[in-house]
Amino acid sequence: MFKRLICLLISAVFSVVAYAQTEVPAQAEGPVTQKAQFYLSAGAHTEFYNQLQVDTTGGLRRFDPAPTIGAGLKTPVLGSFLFLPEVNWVLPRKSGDKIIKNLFMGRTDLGYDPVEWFRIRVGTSLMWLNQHGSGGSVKMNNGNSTATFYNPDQNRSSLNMTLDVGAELLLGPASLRLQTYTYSPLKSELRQLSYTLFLSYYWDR
Amino acid sequence: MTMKCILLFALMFSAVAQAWTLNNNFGAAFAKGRVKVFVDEGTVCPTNGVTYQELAGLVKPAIDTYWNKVPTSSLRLDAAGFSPALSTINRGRLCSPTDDPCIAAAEADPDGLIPAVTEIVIACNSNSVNFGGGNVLAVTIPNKFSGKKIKGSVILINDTSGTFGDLSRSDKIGVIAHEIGHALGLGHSDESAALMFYRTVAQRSRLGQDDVDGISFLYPIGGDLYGLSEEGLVSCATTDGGRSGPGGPYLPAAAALGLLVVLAELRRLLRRSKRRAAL
Repeated sequence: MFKRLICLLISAVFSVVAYAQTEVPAQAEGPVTQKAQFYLSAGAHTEFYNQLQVDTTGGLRRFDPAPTIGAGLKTPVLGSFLFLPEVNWVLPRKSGDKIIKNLFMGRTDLGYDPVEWFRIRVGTSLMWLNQHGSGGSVKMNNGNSTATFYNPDQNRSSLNMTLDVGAELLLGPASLRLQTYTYSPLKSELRQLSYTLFLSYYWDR
Repeated sequence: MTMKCILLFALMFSAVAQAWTLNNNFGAAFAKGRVKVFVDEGTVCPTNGVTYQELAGLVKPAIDTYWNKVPTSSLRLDAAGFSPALSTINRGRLCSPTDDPCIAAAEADPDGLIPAVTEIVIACNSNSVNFGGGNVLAVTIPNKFSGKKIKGSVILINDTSGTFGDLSRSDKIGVIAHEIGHALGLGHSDESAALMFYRTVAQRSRLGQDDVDGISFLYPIGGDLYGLSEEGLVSCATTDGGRSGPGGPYLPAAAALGLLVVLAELRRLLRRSKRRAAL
């Protein structure tokens, strides 16, 4: 019951923050004049930093150029605080006729601009990992001989809520952002950190 | 110009193939999210020089270093100690429940058939028919099913040769973890970095991307809230393929709420721009 309440509370907080700002302040406070803006992003997503083996000598993955695109809104809340909902899509990496993997992120951040050129983001994501395959079999090495193994022919998804922190360098209408996502932050044995390096472009409305 | 740069940035990445497979053609997996891993308390491994207690000591690091570290999977494995000794475990033949010729031959064999088990049971075995050669370190067969669900799997360490016993402790742990992957329903991967690659590699320390994707497919998590959930605290139907996480409307509700927020913002922006245009 307690856990469910936390879930509802988090949803409610983000919703209230969004709806509370019904009007954009004519003259925003803080170091930056705030305007609602739409932005598009492209970047590279690295899943489970330093926790996945990438070669036969025990090397672990620190960077993965998994192409990611996204879109979001920057809306002022109060002073230098911003509400930043966005959606991102880690594009499926070529898998031919085998398995297609998609990672979709529904995100909300609370942003803060301490100076004109820098933004801090704290928020949460709903990570939707979807995989599907077209079935069929494949002969693979199995020790001394080969054996038949099977490609999946179903569609399955995992859903995770992550705790996110980001830092964004504002370069005029563009920006560079390091966005991190912590899976299972409250359970140490399952905790994993993923991140995306984003290049974004903001449009005035 | 900036947009062109962004598009170029998005398109310049190279593609990689995914290569994990299943060991059956219907995506079988254990029905529950918690699976116990036992060592048969009557097993003996004289050729490898490994006791059943030592074998049991490899199980916990195998599951904690590898399979229990995937937040996108609902699967949690428990090192459950010892299971009661099965009389045929050390010499008997291991057959898939659908392999009738194998079962018939095993029943005619004085060493007998290894019976169906529940959960995962590890043992040593010295029946060469099970392994087809001394280079094979171990074999695993899910040998108890209920419909499309795995109910039990047997992992046999090859005791016809001492190859397993000659491995370093970390390699032994890797072999046990690999076989547990088969016991859970995964097949081999053709990625050498993956734990489910068909042979041992110079150094194995973590799962590969293929392993994480495969186990997340077989055991998807219905909705994990920051690690608070065991098997999907706030969850929803996660598949259209027959598996689903434990029920609950909270995550979909939160997602719908988020979508509403985005739509409301878009509507507000549109209205403002129209008003501005009218002025």
